[in-house]
Amino acid sequence: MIFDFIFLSKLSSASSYNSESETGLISGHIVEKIDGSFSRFFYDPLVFGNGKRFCLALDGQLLESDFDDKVNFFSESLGSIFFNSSYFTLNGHPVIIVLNARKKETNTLDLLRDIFKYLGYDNFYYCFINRFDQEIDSTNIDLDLHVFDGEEGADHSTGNWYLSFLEESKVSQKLIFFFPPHSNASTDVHSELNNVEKEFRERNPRVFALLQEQTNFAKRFEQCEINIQGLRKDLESRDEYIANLNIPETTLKRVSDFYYHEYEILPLWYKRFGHLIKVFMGKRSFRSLFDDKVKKYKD
Amino acid sequence: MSLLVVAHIYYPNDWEYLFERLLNLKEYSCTFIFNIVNPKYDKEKVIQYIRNNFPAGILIYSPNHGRDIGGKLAGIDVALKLKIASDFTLIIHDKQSPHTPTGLAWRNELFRVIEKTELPKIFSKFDSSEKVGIVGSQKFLMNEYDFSIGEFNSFSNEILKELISEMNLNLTDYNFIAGNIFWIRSELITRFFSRHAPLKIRSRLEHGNVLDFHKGTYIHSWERIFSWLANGQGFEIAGI
Repeated sequence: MIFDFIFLSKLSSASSYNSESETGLISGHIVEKIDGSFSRFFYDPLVFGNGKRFCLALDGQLLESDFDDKVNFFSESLGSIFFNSSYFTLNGHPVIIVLNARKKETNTLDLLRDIFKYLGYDNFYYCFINRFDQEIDSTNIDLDLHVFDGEEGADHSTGNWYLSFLEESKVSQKLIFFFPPHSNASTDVHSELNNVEKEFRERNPRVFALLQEQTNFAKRFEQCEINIQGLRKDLESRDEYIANLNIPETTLKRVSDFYYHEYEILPLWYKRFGHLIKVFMGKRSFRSLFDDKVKKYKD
Repeated sequence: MSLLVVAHIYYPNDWEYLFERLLNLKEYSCTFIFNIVNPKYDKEKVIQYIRNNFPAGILIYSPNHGRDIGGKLAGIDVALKLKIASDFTLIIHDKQSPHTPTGLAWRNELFRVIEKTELPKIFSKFDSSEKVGIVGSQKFLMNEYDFSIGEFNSFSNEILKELISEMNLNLTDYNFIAGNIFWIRSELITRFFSRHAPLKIRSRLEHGNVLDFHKGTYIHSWERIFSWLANGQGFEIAGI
């Protein structure tokens, strides 16, 4: 697919999810409860390691419910899911969706901040979606975002919607939150969307090529951003080590003192005798005792 | 016999040294969990290597929180949640210790626990005594506790005492493997971390690549507590 689609649907069973073939769509798993079925799905070894990109779409009410140790509970329940290598990220930071939040978004957002902080993240992306209005209430994702709900009162088919979407598309990096029509599997939707793309490409080859080029560029750019973050962290880490080496009484100083006291203060005749022992032990070449140009030590 | 490896990868470039030795474990029934620090600029290369050489390996990316201890706790959390059954667990990371000129010699010594020739000896140590809970490098078996004053000769003295009390560890021996690379009976990990959530412990560790040469840290303290999981549950540490 030319754009990133987050395919939002309720949790299926682990076996049916695993049997779905890879479509390239990002699975947006709608989570209404964190219970046994949640754990059985996400912590099924086959689901955990299946390699398909996914993200969480938490129901607003789930986050709004009142109980003790909320931050602990959500962090420990969701932590390893965010750490999963297939979890959907932007610029290397995890993306979380909140559906139909009723309370003030700031409360929920504060909770999310606490959860991600608990897990050690410097940054994360959120998107509050009001499904009923097919609108985004609040987000920090700096992309061209769209919501399509095939279930809630859509008066046109997925195919028609996507064709007009492509025809009206301007060059920008898009992320589409897609609620599939009732009982449509992701593979069916994927083939429908794919057919529309093919039709559009045949009719508008240059526009399609331009959109594709833009998408590829955005992905390369994102990878560069991630690499820069990694290099920056690496540089910071090296700077810290160097700063540590510069202060007095460091390990280097201790090693240097150790060497001095253990070896350097010995008499010269003793050190020379030591070189002869090295030759007898086969650690040093005999000729090197008389000739500085020959190789001294064996590798 | 089934094995579990929890490996943390942080440093750029030198990770192949660890992976090449981990390949020795493919002869055994072994589950690999790799935690890669995120962000990491050569991550794609690491992933490619893992996909090619450990295709069934479980891969997680976690932020640099708690250094190798944080990464290992993230890996242990995954192992517990996925209910991965094993007899022995290897706790390891791509150790470099750039702060010390002897860092690589330290690493090479600790990595003896994954040398092909050492592996049978390690497993026979576990077999020979039911009391052996951890096996690691004898050379780096350390003890900082001064029984006469009941204090640790460490910047982390206060934190260590706080955590021992909080974790209800009844210790008779304070030996630990400096460098935190060793084999441990998996039951010790499962029992302890089922009571003390790994991510909760991780959340209290210091963030980023914090250096702890001149001050006490939770990271430094947990490096020791990892080894004390054995003594705290009535087991011993054996050196090789």
